[in-house]
Amino acid sequence: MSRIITVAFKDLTVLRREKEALFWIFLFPLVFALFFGFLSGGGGGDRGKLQLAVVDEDHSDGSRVLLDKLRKSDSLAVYDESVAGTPFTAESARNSVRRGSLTAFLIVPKGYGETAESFWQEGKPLELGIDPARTAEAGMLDGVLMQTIYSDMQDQFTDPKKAKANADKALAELDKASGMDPQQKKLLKDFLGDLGKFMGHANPGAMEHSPFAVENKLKKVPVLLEEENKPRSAFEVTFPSSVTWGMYGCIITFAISIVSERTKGTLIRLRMSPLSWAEIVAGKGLACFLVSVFVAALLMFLGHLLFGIRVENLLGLALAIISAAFCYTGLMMALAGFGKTEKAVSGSAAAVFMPLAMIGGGMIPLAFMPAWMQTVSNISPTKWNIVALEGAIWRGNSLVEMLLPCGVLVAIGAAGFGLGVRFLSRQKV
Amino acid sequence: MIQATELHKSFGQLHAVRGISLEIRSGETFGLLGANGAGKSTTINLLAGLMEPDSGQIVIDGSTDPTRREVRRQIGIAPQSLALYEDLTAEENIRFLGKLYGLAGNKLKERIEYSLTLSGLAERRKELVTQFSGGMKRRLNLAAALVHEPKVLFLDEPTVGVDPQSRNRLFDNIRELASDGITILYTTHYMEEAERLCDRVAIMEQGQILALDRVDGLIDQYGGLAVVEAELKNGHLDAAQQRSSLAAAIGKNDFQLEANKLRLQSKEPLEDVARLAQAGIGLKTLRLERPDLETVFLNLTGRRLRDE
Repeated sequence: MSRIITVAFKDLTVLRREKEALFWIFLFPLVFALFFGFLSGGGGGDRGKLQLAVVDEDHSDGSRVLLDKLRKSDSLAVYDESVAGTPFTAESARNSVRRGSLTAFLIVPKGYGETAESFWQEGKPLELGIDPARTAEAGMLDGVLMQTIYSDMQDQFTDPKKAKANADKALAELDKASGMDPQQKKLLKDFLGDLGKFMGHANPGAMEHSPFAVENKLKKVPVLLEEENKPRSAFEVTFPSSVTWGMYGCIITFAISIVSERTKGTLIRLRMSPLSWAEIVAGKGLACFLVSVFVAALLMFLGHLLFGIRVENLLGLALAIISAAFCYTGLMMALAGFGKTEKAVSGSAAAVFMPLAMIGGGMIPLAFMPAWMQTVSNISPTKWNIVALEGAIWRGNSLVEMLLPCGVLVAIGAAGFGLGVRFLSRQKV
Repeated sequence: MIQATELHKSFGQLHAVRGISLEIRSGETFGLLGANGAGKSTTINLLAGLMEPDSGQIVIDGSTDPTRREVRRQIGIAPQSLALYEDLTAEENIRFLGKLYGLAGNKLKERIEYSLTLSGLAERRKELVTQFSGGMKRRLNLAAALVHEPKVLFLDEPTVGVDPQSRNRLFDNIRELASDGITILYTTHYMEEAERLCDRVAIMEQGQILALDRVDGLIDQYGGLAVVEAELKNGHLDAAQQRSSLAAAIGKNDFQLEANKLRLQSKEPLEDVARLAQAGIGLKTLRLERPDLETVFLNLTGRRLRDE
């Protein structure tokens, strides 16, 4: 065992002096986590939300209610004013979106409030403009706006007092209306009269269970075991991803180090020493494993220290890190076994592991990928690494639930070890 | 100490080693002399157990398996390529290798000191190898082979790319090691190194040993005759008189004489020159060319080693 440790510590000493390798293993993942973390909204703020410019041309109670509801949406950052601090006009809002400063603009036209709650008058439509380059967000914005508009209607029918007042108001307007088909007018008057009577006799809480109450149609249930168990900030997503990049740096560095032992002739010294082939390989693997564990632990510690990343399951996190380090060490062995030269190793790593990291959610979170891509991502160790880490830090997975991602990682690592040792032992000195 | 019998090794179509047999005695410095690609490094790799022969047998210190740990502990190797970690210091390189051989504590310190002092790098022990000159790296390459006190040393072209000063220092080191009783197998394509350092030399060509003996034995067997070239002073004699007086002096007449210039081949060149002097034949100039390993190589292979 002491010889294995000697080989491992020699590699660690060499690594300590390789500035380029240190950059890719330690600094790049940290920069990645910070860059994408801040880009995705960081620890809060509006940067991760859809940025919507609003222009209230109506200034009615109805328009104010609508805009207040939009402001309360978790998905939207609503701006009434331009960067210069002046209230948006239709033109300035359009220009902000056209220039890419904001995602979309919404104009509440004059008269919106008057007709918004009318049962029979044709309302003034809201005007929505979306940056054509933001197609992914367009559907989401449509949904948020429809939900907000619908909730206005819901308010009318779930508050009997308000509904009666609206019905009475509509009856009075209907009486004054001229040029309507008499039969149509009579039907509407009957309906509004009946509605007013019904609402006038309904208890204040009775309509909470009405078919109009959206809560009765759609109940939001927590996906996670506890409501607290969701990412509090973008960093709780980007730091687990960054771990995979740190380990990716380890793979390349240590695979190249094995190949360099051969190309530079030092493997002859190792082979001529009393070391067995297994001890040489184990020493190399141990160094890679230790650095992988260290970089993962360091990144998670920094994330915790600087951005308050939680660790819901410390034992699970340790299990996830160890499994991932084993996986990447095995892959390192396979890479070193296949590559004959340093260039071949770095080329193969870029060709194989970069795409695997990409499809596994190493760059873009899996949630943003199409369904077929999410299925394909099952072949990527990056995916299982991220699933395991997120499971331990904010998904609140139990140790039993951690077994699947960790087991997959260990299996991939074992396969990599097998292939690597087989190919390495066949190579000439 | 080392015995190889009928070793064969092929790489695909290339038959690199063809039936080599040799015996290296304990404490002997044995040279493998040959051009690049003659099979010297492959032979060392076979003897060191880094490659497995296709056929043949190797015995090192009584063991038929050079890969056994006990055998490996007795072998030190300085490969032709500089087998050093450039991002480690000289001392870290030696310390790492010493630990691999199980050295620790005072013994390890002592051996590090010995290796660095022998190679003249003790003062620069804390410097990274990457900062060393080619000669210093070669010396450290040798030092790295010595840290575990081997009985057998394989030196594969240890002076390639080395300046004359470092080369002389390496020669001194090797002589010192030989005087300490270490058995050395030394491969080179420099004949003067083989002549200066080796007790016996095997001349290799195309994977075979063409000749094996002490240097003077090889020269005697394959070097041919020495050549004496001289310009005579006796200008007043005519050519016939000169020829007869020369024949009388050296006791033979198979020499060339043209315009006072004598050229003769001899087994005893110095004795022949002395005889000329005794006969009163004055010489204006004298050039003596003794056969050497270069001549031996030329005679054995039909080409010069220096041309490689």
